[in-house]
Amino acid sequence: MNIDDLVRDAVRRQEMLAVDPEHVRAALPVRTTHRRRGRTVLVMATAAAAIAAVTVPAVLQDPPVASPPAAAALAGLTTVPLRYEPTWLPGGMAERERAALLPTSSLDMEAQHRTWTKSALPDDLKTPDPFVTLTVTRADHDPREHLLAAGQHPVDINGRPGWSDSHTVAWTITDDTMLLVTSPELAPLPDADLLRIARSVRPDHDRLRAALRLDWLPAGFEAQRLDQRGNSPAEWQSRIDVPNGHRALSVQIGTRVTRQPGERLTVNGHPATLSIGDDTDSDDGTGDVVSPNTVVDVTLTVDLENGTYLTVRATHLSNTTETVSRADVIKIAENTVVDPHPYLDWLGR
Amino acid sequence: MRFRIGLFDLSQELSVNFEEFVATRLGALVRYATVVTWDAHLAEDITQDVLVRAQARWARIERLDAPEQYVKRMVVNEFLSWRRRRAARLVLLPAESIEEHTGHLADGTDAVDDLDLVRRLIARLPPKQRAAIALRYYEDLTDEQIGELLGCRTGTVRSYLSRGLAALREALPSERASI
Repeated sequence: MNIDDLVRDAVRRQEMLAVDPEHVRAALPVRTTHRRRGRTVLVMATAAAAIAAVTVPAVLQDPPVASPPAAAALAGLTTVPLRYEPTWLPGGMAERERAALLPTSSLDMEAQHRTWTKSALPDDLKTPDPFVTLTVTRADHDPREHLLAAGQHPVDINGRPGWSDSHTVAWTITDDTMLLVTSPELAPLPDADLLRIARSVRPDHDRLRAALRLDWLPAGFEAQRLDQRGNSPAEWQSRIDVPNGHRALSVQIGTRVTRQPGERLTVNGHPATLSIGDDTDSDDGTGDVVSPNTVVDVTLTVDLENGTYLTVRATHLSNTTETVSRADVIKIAENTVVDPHPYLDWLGR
Repeated sequence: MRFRIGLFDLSQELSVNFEEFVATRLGALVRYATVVTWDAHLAEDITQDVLVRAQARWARIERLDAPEQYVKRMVVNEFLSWRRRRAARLVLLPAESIEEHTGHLADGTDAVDDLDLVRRLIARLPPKQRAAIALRYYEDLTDEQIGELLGCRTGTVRSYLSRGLAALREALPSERASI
């Protein structure tokens, strides 16, 4: 055997010494094993049309104009108070995303998440470097033990105890609330900037307001999380995640869409496309079969004919009796009401 | 057939939540960490730490093109951090463990012994040489890809690989390997 063969075989022997993954899983916080959040749909760019919103069940309305929360024209929209904001950021940073658990959420995860970037979000709306995020989470998710174990050092944030590493500052701003300011792990902001951002954080009295109202969901489903992102009031998306066990629903409105082939329908007078597909999830990349399940994906896209698109997406596993039917997806769309005055002024600021 | 708009395909738009990632990728991630660190217990420790941190940032990570690659980079970074470098040195085996294998007379178990010897010799390499070898022979990464993971130039990667393999050649009994 040559040296390459010897090393390659030794590596494979070493691989076999790996501990049982269940040992690692068992040591993770409980919330990672019981709670599931919905698969998400990232809507792709096709147009940066003028803002147009529509009440799906009703006739086409005039294109809406982004407006502050006080101008909400649609009753019953869910709003979430934004609790904190940084009052200082490096030059050129603009807010691109706000996400929050809804008041009714039973999910056990970070409560709020806001993102600022220097450059505009690309067409796929993924966050580009450099960025800064502010995360609000419960202090019982206190990562102190893990952060300190990973070599972080203590810092003081306006008299409150905090911990810092090369790309994150975390601190308990109140006894039951922890904040994290994070920059890219592989291209972090300077330590001084991260600390300055953290020390500039103050209470925020703004609110995150859903651009959708879901008037019907299948039994057992409840809206859990709201995510809005984009570059400006003319280029945005707003999504509500509605997970339920192994099923996941998301309902989204925005100026971007990915078209798929499928059954052509009319939903409340608007042209729509319904596609049903599956993604076999059986290979973990090493040739090992890890799951015999197939994820069934039902997606309904409604062209609201004013530059915005409503997308209802449901996924479920093929080997369960818990499914989301085609009829359910259509009924959700028929009973979704879009805010004619979505509050988006904060995007890009 | 999938309908495409621009450069995007629906299959690329699915983001995996943290629970799904752990459910489907944990085994591969633990094996990866075991090879990169060359220490199963250190790998377990690092994997746990990395996943806890990844969980807190999953809203960001899930939107990356390759969340798993990002988590793997976190594993490598954690392994090469100052605190872990100290722990990694504890992998070193006593010299006599190596020397027991030298001067060995050929018999039917040589092949197995060679593999075990090479595994032990790799454990003696400095962490970055060890990681470079793991990434090359386990992940089949190029010099450029390894350099990106280790945060160094490709020339440095070549140096790690060259010096690491040279150390293995020197330590292996010449009659045991046609190297």
